[in-house]
Amino acid sequence: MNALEQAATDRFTTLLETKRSVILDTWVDQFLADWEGTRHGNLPPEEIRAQSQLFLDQLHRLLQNNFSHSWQPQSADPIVQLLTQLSETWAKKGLAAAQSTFYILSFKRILLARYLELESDPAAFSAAVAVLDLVLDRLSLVVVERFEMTRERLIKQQSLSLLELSTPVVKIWDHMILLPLVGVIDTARARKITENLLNSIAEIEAMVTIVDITGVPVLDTAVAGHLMKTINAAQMLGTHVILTGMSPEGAQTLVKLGVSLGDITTRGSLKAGISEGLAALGKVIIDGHRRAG
Amino acid sequence: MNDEAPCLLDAVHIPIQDYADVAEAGRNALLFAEACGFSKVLAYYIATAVIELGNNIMAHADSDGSIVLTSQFEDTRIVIEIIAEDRGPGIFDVDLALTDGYTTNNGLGCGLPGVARLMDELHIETSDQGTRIRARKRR
Ligand SMILES: Nc1ncnc2c1ncn2[C@@H]1O[C@H](COP(=O)(O)OP(=O)(O)O)[C@@H](O)[C@H]1O
Ligand SMILES: [Mg+2]
Repeated sequence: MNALEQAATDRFTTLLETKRSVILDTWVDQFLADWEGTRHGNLPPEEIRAQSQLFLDQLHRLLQNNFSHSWQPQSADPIVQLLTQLSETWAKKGLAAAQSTFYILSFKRILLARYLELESDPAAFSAAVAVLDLVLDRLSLVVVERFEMTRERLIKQQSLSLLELSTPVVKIWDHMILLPLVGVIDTARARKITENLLNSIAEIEAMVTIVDITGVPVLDTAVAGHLMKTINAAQMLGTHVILTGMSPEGAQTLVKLGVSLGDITTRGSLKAGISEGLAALGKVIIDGHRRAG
Repeated sequence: MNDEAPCLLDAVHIPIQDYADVAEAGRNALLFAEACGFSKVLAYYIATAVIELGNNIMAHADSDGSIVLTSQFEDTRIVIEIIAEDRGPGIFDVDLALTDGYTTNNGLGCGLPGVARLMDELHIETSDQGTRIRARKRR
C-alpha cells in the first residue's frame, strides 16, 4: 500500500471507532428502509443490528492488522464467515440477490460520506475509494456467491422432494394395481418404490401389476437395473407384471446398451396394458353404446 | 481432434457433484442434441451416454467432475462431442471396463460398452490422476 492508502486505512479505522454508533444507525436504517414494502419485509431489525455491529468490529480488526492489497477473503476469516452466514439466511428467506448486495454497497457509501467530512483532498479521497473498493467489493462478491450457491441448493432439494412424493401405487381394479413412475430413479428412490409396491401387492393381493414408465426421462443402465430389481421382486410375490409406456427411443437405447429387462410382458401404451391386465383377470370389456344400440 | 472447427451452439458445461447434476446434464444433452438437429433417437442416445458417463463419475471417481457438450462441423456433418472428466483414481483396466458385464461396483457393467455402441467414437484417457472420456456422435 502506498502512503496515501495507508493513511486512508488508518482514517477508516479511526472512523469505525469514533463514529461507530452513528454509522451503524444510518446503515441499519437505510438497509431496513430498502426492505420495507417488499414482500419480504420481515427481517428482525434487532438481528440485523446485532450482525451489522459484529461486521463493524470485524472490519475494524481487519483494517487494523497489516491490511494490504494482497488480502483475499478466506473462508476461515471471521468476517467472511459472518457474511456467508448472513447471505445464506437471506437466500433461504427468499430475498432478492440485489438486496443482499445493497447491504455492502450502502455501507460503502455511508463510510465514504463520513470520510469526506474529514478529508477533502482529491488525491487522499481517491486513495480512500481504492482501499474501500479493495475490501468491500471482494466482500460483496462473497455475499453474492454464497447467495447463489444457497439458492441453487434449495432448488435442487425442492425438486428432489417433489419427486419423492410422486411414488403412489394406485389400485385400478380388484387385484390390479398401477405403479406410474415419474422422474429420475436413483438408488434411494428405487428402494422406496419397491417397498411401497411390495406392500401394496400384498395388501390388495394384486394378481396384475402395471408398471408405467412414460414419465421416466431416460432409461440408462442404472435405471434399468433398478427397474429390473423392482419387477423381479414383484414377480416373486406371484403378480403378473406388465410394463407400459416405454418409448421407441427408450427401447432402442436399451438394445444398444445390451440390457434386457428379462421375462416380462410389455405393452406400448397404458391403455393396452390395462386391457391386457383385465384379460389376465378374466374380465371382458364390452362397448356399452353398441350393445344399447 | 477438431478443436479449430467452428461451434454451432455455445458449449454446455455442467459440473458434476451429485446425481441431481447428472440428471440435469442428461436433460441438457437432450435439448442440445435436438437443437443441433439430431433425430429423437440420436438425441436420446446422446443423453443416455451423458448420463452413463455422469453416473460413472459419481459411482467410481469419488471426486467432483464435469461434463462438457460441444457441437462442431466435420466436413459437412454436425458432430456432438461429450467430454466427461474427473480427478478420481482412474479406470483400472480399460479393456475390462469396456467388456459387457464387468463392474467393480455392483452395477450392470454395461455403461461404458453401452456408450461405445451408442456413440460413433469413444476415447478414454485415464491415469491415477483421473479420467477423461471423449465420445462423439455424427448426425
Ligand atoms: N470415471 C471412472 N473412474 C474410475 N473407474 C471407472 C470410471 N468409469 C468407469 N469405471 C470403471 O469401469 C467399470 C465399468 O463401467 P460401466 O461399464 O459403466 O459399469 P458400471 O458403472 O455398471 O460398473 C466400472 O465398474 C469401474 O470400475
Ligand atoms: Mg456405469
